Amino acid sequence: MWKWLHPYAKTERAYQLCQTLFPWFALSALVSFSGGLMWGLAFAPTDYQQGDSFRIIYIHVPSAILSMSAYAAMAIAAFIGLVWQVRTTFMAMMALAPIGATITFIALFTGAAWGKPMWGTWWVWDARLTSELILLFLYLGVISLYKSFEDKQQAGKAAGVMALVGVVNLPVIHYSVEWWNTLHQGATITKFGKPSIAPEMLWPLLLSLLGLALVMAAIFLLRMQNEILRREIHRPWVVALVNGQIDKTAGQK
Amino acid sequence: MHFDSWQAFWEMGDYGLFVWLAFGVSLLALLVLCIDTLLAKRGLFAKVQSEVARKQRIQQAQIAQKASQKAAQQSAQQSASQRSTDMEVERVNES
Repeated sequence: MWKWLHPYAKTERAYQLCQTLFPWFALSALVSFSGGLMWGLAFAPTDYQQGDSFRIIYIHVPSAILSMSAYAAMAIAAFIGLVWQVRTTFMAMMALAPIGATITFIALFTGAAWGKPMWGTWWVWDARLTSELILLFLYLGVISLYKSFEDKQQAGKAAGVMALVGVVNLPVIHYSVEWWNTLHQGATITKFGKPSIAPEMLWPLLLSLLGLALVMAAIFLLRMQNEILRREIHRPWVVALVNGQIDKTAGQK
Repeated sequence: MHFDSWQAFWEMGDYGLFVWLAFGVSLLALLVLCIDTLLAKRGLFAKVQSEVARKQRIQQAQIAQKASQKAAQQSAQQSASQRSTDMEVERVNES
């Protein structure tokens, strides 16, 4: 069933796949992300309680949701790498980690900028905020653990185990607003049943969620290529690829 | 458009500072991530190129070294054969 997937464990095939997919992802990301943000910032109606400060939702909620999705993706990559000894998925893990860290930072920062006018404080040690901060530290931990090993195969395994252990934090983040009586509000769209938000506000939110996901995917494709190059730098196909690229640019001139 | 004027859009109902701070920093963070990715790619390509150039230099240096060794050997042989002919001439003269 999974046989069609096997050739992509080869780094050369994976690199080429990233190359073909990138323009599509970059284009759709640009269109949907800018569309979603503009729709949310300029066209969605004002919230009757929070006024226009609620518009931070159009970057805060997508980044918060995707910071967890990226972690889950990273952990799945780590799991595949550890169980089936696939080198390429460790590269995917390390391509995802900095993206996830950036998105988590965005979720925390926009939350602070929203908390100041609404709660009257930039930061509280609330369960949701604290567990999201731990998620940022987990990302940074995976990155620094990987960097601290000279042997990158060992590094992948060690960082992979850390990424897997950190998965326990994901349900904690998600259910923190239910398990503890905290300042942060409960789930609005990521719950069973009807989302508790007006459709005119929900649609731009879903569009910017899709947009940010595509932005992350596009950056992932580029970083995955970098990660492959970094590990395979002495391979003949990499040398041929770089030489080919030079010939191409020389031909354009 | 929900807002009456551009002025109102930038003010965001007096929450302008917080809204634009959140969006500004977010976009800046994404931009930094993109730039880092592209710079890393350029650096890796340059590294491959310099590695290729280094290998070529080593190869050429080896070829040059072999050539100079050969030349040295040849000149040594030549001087040796020159000496032997000199000796022969001397011997003939003596006799």
